[in-house]
Amino acid sequence: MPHAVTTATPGLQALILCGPGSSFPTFTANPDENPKALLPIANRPMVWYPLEFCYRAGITNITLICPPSAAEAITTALNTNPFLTSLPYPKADLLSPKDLDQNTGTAQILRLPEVQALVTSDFLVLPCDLVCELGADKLLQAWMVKSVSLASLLSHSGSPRAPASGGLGVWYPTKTATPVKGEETDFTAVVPLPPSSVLAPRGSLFPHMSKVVYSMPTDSRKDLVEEESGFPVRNSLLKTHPRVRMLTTHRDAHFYIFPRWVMDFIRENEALETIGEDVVGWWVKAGWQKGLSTKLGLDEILGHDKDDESKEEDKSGAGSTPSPSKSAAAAGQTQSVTVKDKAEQARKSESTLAGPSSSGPLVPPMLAYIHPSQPAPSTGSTTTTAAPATIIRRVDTSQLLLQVSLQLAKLPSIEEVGPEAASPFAHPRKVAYPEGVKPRTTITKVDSLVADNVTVQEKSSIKECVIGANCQINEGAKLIQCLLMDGVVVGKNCKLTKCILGKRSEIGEGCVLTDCEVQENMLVERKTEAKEEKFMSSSGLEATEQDLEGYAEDIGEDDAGED
Amino acid sequence: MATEGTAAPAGAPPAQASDQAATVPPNAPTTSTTEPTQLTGAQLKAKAKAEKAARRAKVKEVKEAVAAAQPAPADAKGGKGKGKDGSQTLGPQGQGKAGLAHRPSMNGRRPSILIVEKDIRSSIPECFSHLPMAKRIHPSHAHKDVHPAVLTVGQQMATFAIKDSIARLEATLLAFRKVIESYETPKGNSLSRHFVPHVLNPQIEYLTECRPMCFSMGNAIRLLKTKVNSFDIDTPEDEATEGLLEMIDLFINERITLAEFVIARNAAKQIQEGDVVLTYGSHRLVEKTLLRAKNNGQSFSVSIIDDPYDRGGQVMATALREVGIRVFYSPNLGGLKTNVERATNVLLGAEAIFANGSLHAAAGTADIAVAATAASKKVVALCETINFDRERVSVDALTYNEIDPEQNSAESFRLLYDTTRDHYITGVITEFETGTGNSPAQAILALLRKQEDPALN
Repeated sequence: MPHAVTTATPGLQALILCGPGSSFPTFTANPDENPKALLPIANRPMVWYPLEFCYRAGITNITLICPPSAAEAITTALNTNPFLTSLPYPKADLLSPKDLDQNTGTAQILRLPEVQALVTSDFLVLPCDLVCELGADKLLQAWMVKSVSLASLLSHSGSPRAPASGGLGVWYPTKTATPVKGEETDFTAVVPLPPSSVLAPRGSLFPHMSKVVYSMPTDSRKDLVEEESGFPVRNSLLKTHPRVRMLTTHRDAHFYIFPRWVMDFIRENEALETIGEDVVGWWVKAGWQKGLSTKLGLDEILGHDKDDESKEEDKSGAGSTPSPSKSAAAAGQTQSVTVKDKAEQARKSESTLAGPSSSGPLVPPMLAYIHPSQPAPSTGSTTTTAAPATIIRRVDTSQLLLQVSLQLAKLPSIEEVGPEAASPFAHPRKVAYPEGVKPRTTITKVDSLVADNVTVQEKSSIKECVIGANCQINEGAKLIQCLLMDGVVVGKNCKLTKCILGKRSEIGEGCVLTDCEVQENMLVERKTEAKEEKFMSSSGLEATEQDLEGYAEDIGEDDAGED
Repeated sequence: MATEGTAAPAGAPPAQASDQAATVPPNAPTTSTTEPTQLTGAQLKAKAKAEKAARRAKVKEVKEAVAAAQPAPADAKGGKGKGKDGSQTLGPQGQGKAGLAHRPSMNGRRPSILIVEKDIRSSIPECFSHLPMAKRIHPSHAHKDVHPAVLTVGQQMATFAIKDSIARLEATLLAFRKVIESYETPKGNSLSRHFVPHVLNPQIEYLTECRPMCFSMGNAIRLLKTKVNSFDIDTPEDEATEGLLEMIDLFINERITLAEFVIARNAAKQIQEGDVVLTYGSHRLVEKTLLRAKNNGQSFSVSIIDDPYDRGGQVMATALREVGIRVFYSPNLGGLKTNVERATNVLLGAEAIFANGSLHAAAGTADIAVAATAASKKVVALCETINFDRERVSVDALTYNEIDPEQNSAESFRLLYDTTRDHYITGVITEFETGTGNSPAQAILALLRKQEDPALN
């Protein structure tokens, strides 16, 4: 029976955004029946990974947000899928705001009234396609220590307004040992955190934390460079942060821990469309660009008056009058307060990392955890690069799906290494149903994963594959580096390399396919030989009357259907 | 045994198969010895398979035995292990098998989970086993009743983001304030009976797990518990909650905020024009005093000697420079004699003061005090009365101390505090108004005894 989560709750709530998966053309052609969130990664539905991530952190208030059209499919899966039902209590809620459709930007989702009403505390935002092996509690610890302003957390009605908490995001390297062609990257500029006098605890993430000062997807950056023929950098950025490190091959994992005020920020600024590009991008710019925080309305949201910057300073109220302006040439009667303010500001800018903008209030920082590409050598371990780094990947193209599934298949199962040493993504057994595997078959257990109820006939060979539940592999089939979803039937003597086969598809006898993708419910004729093809049905791609008229106007527009 | 019973189904099919198959080979070898030619290829294969299955079953048994012999760690891992193993085993199997980690949970209240306690301390010799060290548990290992605010405060304390005793005390009290605000007495219980053991104690235990408590936190918690116990069992919950909140607010106001202000004001009077004030590391009282003195219009300079392992002095130096105080900075205790000779006053901040007047302060303070006394300089310590500990006595630095969790090994470890004997301290400034300015620690302790004993009822 699933059990209840028995660890302390950090008082955060989690939102998992289940989008339509526009980069998955083969498999999400029907986003309502087969939403991207339910595509299997290593035989578990995609949405299991962010859910499990939250539960591991002790977060119990989880809400999945999906368009109303996909709600039914996801609800069914939540109730029937064996992986999803075995997640601990309390169960995740499903919210389908009525104005949400397949094209809504992520920040627009957060602006919807249902979501605004739902979020009442600091919150996490996760995409449904994030596979993150790193412990969420480490990220939470990093957020609690580095971003949260204790004064604002512990303030009560009688205490003066305190500086607000910052946020946390995760960026991971895309140029790892197994790079995937065409993976999206983000362009990010970070500065190091002020050095703290205390050594970071062993095993914590603090050495990899930096503060974000600029964030933009690579595509936008390329457009910008084209427009301006060069990459423009504002002077105020360099004045505020002389040491900037620019990352071009990292990608935003889209995992954010946001304080509550970000919801107000999004609500006030209608122009923000996506979280990654707009919300984070503008927020971090407001940290160093003069006047931007006022334009974005951050002043009111953060409760700062332009004239008062030392609000939380003198609780005893002994002789503190709001200082009119920061310049020391202020009126002589406030000189005593100015001394304290300046020292406070110096202390604050050292210890709280907030942007020391000379013209406005301090904007809380957006911190980044940059996942290292090489695993840190642990003390006393003799293996150096043998252990793979913890996996953080977003899975939003089919190539990534294949890569990540194969990577997860290489994790040793719980049976082999015992429950403590196993990764949280390990399966209990590599071959879940060994009785279905006939003798005289080769299955390389070390890098394959075979799910329940799979029948493998004789003389077949399965190397480095992930095979979903209820599949049938007939005699003589040879599968290398393939990903099979549920219910696939592979005919006799097929040779499949690097293929992705959708649900309930069927491959006829004697096919030789390399680098192919087969949509669900498709039948591939026998003896087909294909390389780098996508087998999709053309239903749903039929042109409507409108489209036909539109095409009649355009010249030479090809139909998008493939077969 | 429950473990073997529940874990057995996972291993049952192969075990049964191996049993069945195992019965066959014993026969086969016996026949084979008499008639070796009768063993066909299929039988050989069956034998090999059975042996393999038997080996696997044995490995499983060993694992189960090991797990059964250590119910405590598996139980302790319950929170984490259940999340991992439970979902793993149930999912693909699809049957109602319970994994190893499905034990009946929690008999009553169990403390926060400690997983790596032995690993951290294993290198420290026995003779120092009385010295605590921050265990720094992760938020996911905390007991489930820990309030989110307390969780955050604990993490900040564990990672030494808030270090000195007053900051920790203030954060703890404000976090407890949140706990009290969000507390609702369950039906049939009263606050005075239910609150402390079921709500407050898990928070305290968690905070202690993150980092050993400082004296002032202990004092404050004792006062809080006394107040809770003083409520009648019939007191309505609102009244009791109000009373507690009021007490916390008053406490913070009087003994932290006001104390800080008064100490800074009193100590600032002692700084004359042209003084060179020597101080060690960074202490918030010393900083406030120096800023206050600057406010008063004095012009003086400050000599900061820093702890080489914990460079807090640099932050204070920057803050002082912002307001125009001239700062001499020394990164460690080298050249101490020269520094002391140049100084006119010595201001030291303290973590606590023991009952015999000894000063408990950051490691290195004692060196400064001794050197200053040898050079006949006045050594003034600044300490709030909440940090006075009237029950403990210390004459050396090894009785009450804390080991640095980052710098410890079998050969050496770093201690965070040290003890300065009272004859090296010329005077202590607290929030009690004193005419002459300096009072020896004993006088203050006597005053405290008179003040607090009648107040405690």
